Amino acid sequence: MISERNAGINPEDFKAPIPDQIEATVSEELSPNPVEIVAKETDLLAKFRGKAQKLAKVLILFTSLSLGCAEKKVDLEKPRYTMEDVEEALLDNAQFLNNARYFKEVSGFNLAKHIQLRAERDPQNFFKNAKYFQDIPGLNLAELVVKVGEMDPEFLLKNAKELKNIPGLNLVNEILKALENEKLKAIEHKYWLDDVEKIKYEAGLFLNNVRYLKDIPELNLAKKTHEFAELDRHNFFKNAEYFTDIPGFNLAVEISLTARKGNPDEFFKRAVSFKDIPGLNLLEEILVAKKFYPEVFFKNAKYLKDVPGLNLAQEMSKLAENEPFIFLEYAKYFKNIIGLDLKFKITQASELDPLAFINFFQDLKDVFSESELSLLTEKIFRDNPKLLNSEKSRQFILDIKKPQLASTEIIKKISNVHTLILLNHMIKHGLSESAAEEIMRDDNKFLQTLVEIKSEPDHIGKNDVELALKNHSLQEIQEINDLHDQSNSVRFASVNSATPSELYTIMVYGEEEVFTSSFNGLFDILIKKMHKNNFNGKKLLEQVGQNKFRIFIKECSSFNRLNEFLDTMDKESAEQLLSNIVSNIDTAKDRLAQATIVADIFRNIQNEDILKVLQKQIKLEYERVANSPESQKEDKILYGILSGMFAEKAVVNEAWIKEMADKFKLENLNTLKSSDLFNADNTNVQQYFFYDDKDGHASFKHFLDQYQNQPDWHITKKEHFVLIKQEKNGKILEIYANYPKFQTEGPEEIDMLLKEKNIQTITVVHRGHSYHAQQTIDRIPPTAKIVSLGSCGGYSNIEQVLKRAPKAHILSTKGTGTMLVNDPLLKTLNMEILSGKNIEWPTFWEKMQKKVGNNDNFKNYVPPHKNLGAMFLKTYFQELEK
Amino acid sequence: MGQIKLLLTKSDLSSKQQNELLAILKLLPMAEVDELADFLVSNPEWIVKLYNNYKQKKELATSKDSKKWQELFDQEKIELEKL
Repeated sequence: MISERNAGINPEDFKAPIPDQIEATVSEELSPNPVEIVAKETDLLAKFRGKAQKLAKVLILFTSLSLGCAEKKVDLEKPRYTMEDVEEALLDNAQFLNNARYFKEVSGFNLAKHIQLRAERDPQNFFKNAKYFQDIPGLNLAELVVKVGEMDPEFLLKNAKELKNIPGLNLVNEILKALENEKLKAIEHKYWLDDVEKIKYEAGLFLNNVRYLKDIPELNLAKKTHEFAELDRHNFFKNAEYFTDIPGFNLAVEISLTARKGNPDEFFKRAVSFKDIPGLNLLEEILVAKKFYPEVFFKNAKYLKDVPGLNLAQEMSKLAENEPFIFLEYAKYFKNIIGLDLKFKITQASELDPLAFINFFQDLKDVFSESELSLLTEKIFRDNPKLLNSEKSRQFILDIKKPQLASTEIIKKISNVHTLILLNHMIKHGLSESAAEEIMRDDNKFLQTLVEIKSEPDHIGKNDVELALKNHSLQEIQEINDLHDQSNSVRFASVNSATPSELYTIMVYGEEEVFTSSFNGLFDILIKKMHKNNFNGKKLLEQVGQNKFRIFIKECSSFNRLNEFLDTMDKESAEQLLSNIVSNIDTAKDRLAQATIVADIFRNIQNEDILKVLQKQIKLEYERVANSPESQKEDKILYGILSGMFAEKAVVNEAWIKEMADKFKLENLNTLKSSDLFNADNTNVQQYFFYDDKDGHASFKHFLDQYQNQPDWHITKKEHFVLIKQEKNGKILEIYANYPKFQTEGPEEIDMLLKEKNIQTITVVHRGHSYHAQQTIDRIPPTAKIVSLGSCGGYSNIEQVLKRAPKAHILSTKGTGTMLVNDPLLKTLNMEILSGKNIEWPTFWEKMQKKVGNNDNFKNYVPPHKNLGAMFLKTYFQELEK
Repeated sequence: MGQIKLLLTKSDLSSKQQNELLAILKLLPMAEVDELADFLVSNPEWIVKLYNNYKQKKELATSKDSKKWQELFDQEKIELEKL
């Protein structure tokens, strides 16, 4: 062995290179005679042989290191290597390359040739030592580096720092070539991968080695890292800790961008390690990614347990309500999430998505006992008898040996599973399967029976019945809407034989899509039938079990028909009904939704007698909850805000109502400041969402016509969206609108574009039917200041909008809006925005009244300052925060 | 180097001290490290002795006291003679 070439000890044995990490431990301050000291020790220990000799060498190394003369600092004699040493070294490539620099003067040895040979066999040690090979005669080092680099690009990158000063070597070029080669290799050898996957190899090689490339200024590391981050998210997140000090590279922005694009799997997995990255709002990024990728969030929830400030159980719980299927898919992994009531959440999610329950039934055995799971199964089938349409699902109920619910016995015996939507009547009223079949053959009888079931408290099959009623009603309303240019006899022929309860049901369940004329026509028929049958409003509401009575009153008040309805009953019953509107809202399961409806009702009512009843009752309700020990703070806030809403039209209890109005101040939505409507670069960015149906296409065309060939408006047509732009007085307004047929791709592209430009959307406009609203709402950014929802201004949507964009002013319509109002209204609004003045909604609305007021539909539009439902919710959330 | 690492983890040195010593020993040629490892397997008490020796030398390097160097070398000699 080389180290044994001398019988004694030579200090030069320790003249090994000192790695970077050791240099710091080596004393910089030399003793006056370091060479003498080492020599003294060497002399003293020279006599030892065997294991003592080996230890002596180590001790001398320690002395050399501590004195700082192990390398370069002390000019010790050159080593005297012999051919024998070289031959021994040649037995091992690494040993040879690590020591080759000392063999320069061994006579008769062709060092260049051997380095070339060994370099190809051991690229790693070649690159590591290459800097020592610069002056070896006969060796074209730059050429050899290129050659070996082509063979092993990864080691070239890893050792790039060592290769910086090799004469004749264009290192940047070689690095870029190495990356390209990696891609080409993937293309050549991994033919089964798609193009993106192949390019990932190049990106992966780069991202995994960025840490070694930092000292090469000619390589634009920031730009390249940005480019590759998008291609290979996995390796970007894996190596993120090495990207913190790349000049010109904003790691926080890059993490945010990368997490939001595609699948943020790796982001969630490594999120905890990003908690200290300057400028990164980790919590916000997680919540945004959660919103767009709920499945990935649930899949990786276990990695998020230690993210500071994240209430994981609460976030999971909230998301489970919107995404029950995905929650159930991963539920078995949530047993250790602290604070999550897993059994309760699974039950809730199963009720929301019974099919998911069936799907993941086996997984739930890990969470519930056999008896618990059996009972949950029976309940799910009782409430969703439609599940039995599938043989696979049916087997679940047949497998239950000891039923705990009576409904299960009946379900097991039924042969025509379609009749089970009437299970309530089978269980409670002895309806036979054949009688159920008879009912279902007649549309009217079927609707009538559904209405009967719905009127029963705690009826069975509630989800299916509710859904059937909604579908039936929306379909009926849409058919009536579509016949708007026909005579009433033709238009309303389908409801000729409907009973008052059925008409009522159609009206309340079809609220979101109803035209004013459709409602009025239905209402006329309802009143006529009630008179004919000597049927008053009180009896009607009793017959429908008070189901959605506040929505009905809201519709009546919106379309100015409330007095007519109240006139169908005696004064006492009418007052009772009005009192009921504001009574016991706090005990309703959907208390906020009910309160929002009540707020909307208040907006419409001007009649002094009605106001008197409502205002008297609401004071009683407020006092009830204020004095009840069981009541919550929230209940007091709820009634306090509603009471204060009467401030401008108080007819009784004036002083108290004023006190409430002062205490629970409604946010002033009269004014929207111009400064709030522009990004820092003076742009007002708007996003319009169109959907791929007949109305969506017509609506888009009409919208575009407003701006086409108009002076000052510039239209740029992209593949999936259109950009409409105007600059005026130093202000820029940009409208991004997806083509209806690209309802998914368009918004996604717009989103990415805005993110890259780092600008925020200020205005969001939903241009579609109510069933598309969720897709628009999911894309509303927190910065939105104006949100136009069209007919989708019901409680659930408003609540979601305000939770996403708390400062938004909401424009909506009662029933379906029309493009004939939408487009001129929004365009005029845009001109106001561009003028740089504040938006004063009352003044703006007066202006619009003059402009489009001749269109009957305009009166159904609700400006932000008149949207009491939205104002109620805004104030409620603010009060809660206090 | 793997064997040395293992031996260090079994010693009384703290993790920091182990790392420090390991970094120094890495400067030895591979073959010598292997031999040292073989020695330390049967003489594990030398791990702490080696560490202390290095630490003492580092301190002496700044003291410039040649007498103390001599004392230390004498001590080394005594220890080696015991083997």
